[in-house]
Amino acid sequence: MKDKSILELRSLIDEGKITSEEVFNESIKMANDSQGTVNAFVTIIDKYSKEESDSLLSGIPYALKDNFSTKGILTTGSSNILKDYIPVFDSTVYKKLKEAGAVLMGKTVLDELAMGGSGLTGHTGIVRNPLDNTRITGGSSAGSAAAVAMGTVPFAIGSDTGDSVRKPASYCGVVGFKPTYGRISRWGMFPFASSLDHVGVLTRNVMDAAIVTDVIKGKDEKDMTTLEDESFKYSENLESSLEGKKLFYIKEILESAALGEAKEVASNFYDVIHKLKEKGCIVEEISFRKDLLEVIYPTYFIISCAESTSNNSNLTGFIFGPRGKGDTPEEVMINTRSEGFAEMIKRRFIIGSYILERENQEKLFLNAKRVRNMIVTEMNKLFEKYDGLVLPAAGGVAPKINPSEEVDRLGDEYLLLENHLAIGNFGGYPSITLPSGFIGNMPIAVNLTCKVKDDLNCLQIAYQIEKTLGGER
Amino acid sequence: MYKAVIGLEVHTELNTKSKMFSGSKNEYTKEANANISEIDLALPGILPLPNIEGVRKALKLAMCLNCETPDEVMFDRKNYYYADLPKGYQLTQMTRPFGKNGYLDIDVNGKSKRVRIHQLHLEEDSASMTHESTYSLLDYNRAGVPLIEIVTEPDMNTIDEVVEYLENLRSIIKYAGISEASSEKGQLRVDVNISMMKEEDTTLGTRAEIKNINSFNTVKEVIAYEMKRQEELLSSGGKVVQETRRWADDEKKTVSMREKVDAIDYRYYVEPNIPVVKLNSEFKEEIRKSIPVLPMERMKKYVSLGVSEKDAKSIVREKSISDYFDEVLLYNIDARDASNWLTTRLMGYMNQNNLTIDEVYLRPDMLASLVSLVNTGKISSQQAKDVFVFSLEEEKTPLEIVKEKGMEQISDEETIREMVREVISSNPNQYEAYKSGKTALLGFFVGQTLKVSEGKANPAVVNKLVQEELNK
Amino acid sequence: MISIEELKKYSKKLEFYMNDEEEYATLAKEFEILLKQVDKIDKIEGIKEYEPMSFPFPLDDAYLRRDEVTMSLDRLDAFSNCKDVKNGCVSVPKVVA
Repeated sequence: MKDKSILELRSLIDEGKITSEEVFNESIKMANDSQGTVNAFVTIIDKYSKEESDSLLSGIPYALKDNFSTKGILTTGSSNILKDYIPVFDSTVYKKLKEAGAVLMGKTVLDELAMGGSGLTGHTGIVRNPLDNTRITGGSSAGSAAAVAMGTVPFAIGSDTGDSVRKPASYCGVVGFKPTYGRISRWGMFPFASSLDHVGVLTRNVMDAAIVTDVIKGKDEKDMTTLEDESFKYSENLESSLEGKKLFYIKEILESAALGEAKEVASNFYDVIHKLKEKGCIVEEISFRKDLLEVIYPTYFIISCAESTSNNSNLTGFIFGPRGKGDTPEEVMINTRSEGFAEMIKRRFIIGSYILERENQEKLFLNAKRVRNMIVTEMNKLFEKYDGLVLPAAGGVAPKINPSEEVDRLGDEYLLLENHLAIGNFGGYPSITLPSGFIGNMPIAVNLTCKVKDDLNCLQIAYQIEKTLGGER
Repeated sequence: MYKAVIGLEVHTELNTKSKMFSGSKNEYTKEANANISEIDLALPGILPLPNIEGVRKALKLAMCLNCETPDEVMFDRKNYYYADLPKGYQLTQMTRPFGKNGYLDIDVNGKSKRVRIHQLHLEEDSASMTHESTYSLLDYNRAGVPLIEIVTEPDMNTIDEVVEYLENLRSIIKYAGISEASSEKGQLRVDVNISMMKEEDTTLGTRAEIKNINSFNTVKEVIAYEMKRQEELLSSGGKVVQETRRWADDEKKTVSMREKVDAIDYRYYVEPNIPVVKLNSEFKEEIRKSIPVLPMERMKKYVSLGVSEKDAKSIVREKSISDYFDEVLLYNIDARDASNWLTTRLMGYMNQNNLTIDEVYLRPDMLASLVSLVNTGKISSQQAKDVFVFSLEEEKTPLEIVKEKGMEQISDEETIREMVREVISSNPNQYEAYKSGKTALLGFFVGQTLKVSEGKANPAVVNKLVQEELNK
Repeated sequence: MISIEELKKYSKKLEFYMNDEEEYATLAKEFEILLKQVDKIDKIEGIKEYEPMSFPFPLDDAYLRRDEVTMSLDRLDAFSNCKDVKNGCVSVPKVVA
């Protein structure tokens, strides 16, 4: 069943050529075999269980990022502070997938508490890129991207706060889709930065992304930010034409792709553009304020650090999680948190707390929120004229693993190519990464971002791009 | 010399069915952790679900207190760490509080005063703790219960003003149906901010804050103590420290908790998981219309109709009693008489029998008819007392009682004159005594006549005719 | 430059300490980089004309929840992850008044 898409598995199961339990068993075997090298999983489910359903996902195995609550099943956020936490309620995403008959086969590794972009900071160890074990998968949805890339599952669920589904998708050569903010309920998903957090899907192809999104999207009374239900399914409306679609890319971002791998990425990108134009798609180069582009990452960093500090203040060891020693409640809190959080997370929290201090809020927090507004305002103007923004998903292939160093994205060399995906989070835009080629034998990808609530259009265009580039892997 | 400058922060727990940001039950219970959900415990992945009724009640109170109200709903996070705060932040309002720049007018010893309301906002309560020997226990029943916080400007200067403000505020809260406001159940908590200044000073003194006072009596004790403590400190050349204190009831004094000098920075920011909800004018109008006539206004009306201030105050103390009285007044009878009956007889009966005004048999129309029967001379006031008792005991209307027991007052002069003559002829000695100057015996003849009439004779007429007959 | 002392104060406020003293030095460097970026942001032309954005986009059909009892956790479930339960409550070392 390895490398099969959802629809392919669906036919095999429906035609009786294989049972869903057999598929599950194959899946967990592959997962177990890969743990020594890739280490994508925190938990591999040992018992097959499935609910009755006639949906497309019935009997299909999948992996769930370990920051989604699953009742009765360990959910750790890949952090020691939750290493023994067993939720007593389900996240909405998990509940919907269960009801659709999908079969959970494992919980995947993430960067601790989703705060990272390498896949190297989970408490059960680093995740290695299945395509090249000396390289990272990217993060924070590291394990989910790896699981799909390895072929153990046709789809996996992740979360995307700055690029955490769409960047690892690029590094692992799979499709990573992040719908509009509020399209999928965040109830039960551990929060990182609430105004930037999105649920995302990793699959082998665009159709599968549409199928899964159809099942898990929808208004949820437990999440006040969810959007009204749509009366149609994405997967049933994917066919369209590139003829007449208008896309744009940002001149300044491509211009920064001047050296080394980035240059090859740009070359591949222009190639893709050319192919789209041949299909009748209009693709235009647009200039965007460079001063805004240059501060995308710090803006993201400031807002997300600030929000994450507050979101993780419930982790004290009192009601759940490992509990530190202490003679007073404060001592217990201090020991629990000191032992439970890795040092990098603590540094982020301190920065986040500093940002929210009364005397710092104006210059740090509020300014970052103003920049967010500026970028989103400019983007919205462009989306009035264009169907979507298309760009290379990353500045190169998956970097080599260097366990002692987080990729320094805050440094003086801003890499516009590396950091633009956060635009999709600032404005809550639907955004999808699809593989577009190789450098050597490592994949690279393009990313398409469309306007708010335009998820169907986004998937339709992506579907056509995929066809144009030669289809699924 | 020194005068007290006092501001109050009052927290009142709302009587909604469910909690403010979660769907768990909001109900006072003695069983620990009976009304809890994953949201109240701040388990990872929960999201806040704001309660529309909490919003309504907060807006309603804001309107009762003459505040400016916003056009949208926004909440903020107040971040700090404490054992009773599961999320590590409290959901409250900073950016768009439900009330600003309001006021409450009070009347103290005949003088009117305006206490300005700085702000009114909606927030959630924390968990409660009980302390044992070596450990503390956390009960999350209270975690997430909706609270309204009402903050005044430091406009009060005396204990009387403080008490008057608190009594009025509680009355309004109960009239608006927002909270039971029971002190025993901890549903009304007061923080006192107090400083002292000399009359001639232009700036306020340093203030101390005494938190979490549960009863109005304790508020009085706290203020009296603090006024003395601060005045003594200042007079002897010392300085008042800006700090939080608590009332130690066993020692009858305030005790320092922590110095407020290094004030905690709560790092407020807008709650991102609650999208901004617009409050349209219809929604707000509906709330405004649901506000009943408030106690102060009702008192003024009753007093203007002749009711004594003391009785008026008694009547408005509870909305149900005032509503009852309003109904009685619809029957166009003397307000003063009606208020007497209500406050002395009916409320006395209610207290003795542990009944509320809604449970008592005598309905407003019946009380009105009783008063009317007396004022039209159909029965005497003495008889009315009996009718009242019979009516309640036998659960029959006063009219029915009077009819059944044939208690109609006799006012016919012919009939009474007969009785008077009968009494005079049956009591020749007293008649002689009266004639020879013992005029006090008038009362005797009146009493005897009333007796003969079985209490039915109109006393005024009896008096008149006895005098006439005796003086013949 | 933010001092190590200040950073320690901040970490205390967040109820943890760094296990490794070197971490404070790393953090100080991160602060330096961040604050440079912050200065850059502050100089962006026209920035003050924009409102700080708290949500990605306004939700036009935002609504409030009806006042009904819809959730309840059984006490055993609720505290199934708790390391110290006494008398049906979460037990912590005694809070000093």
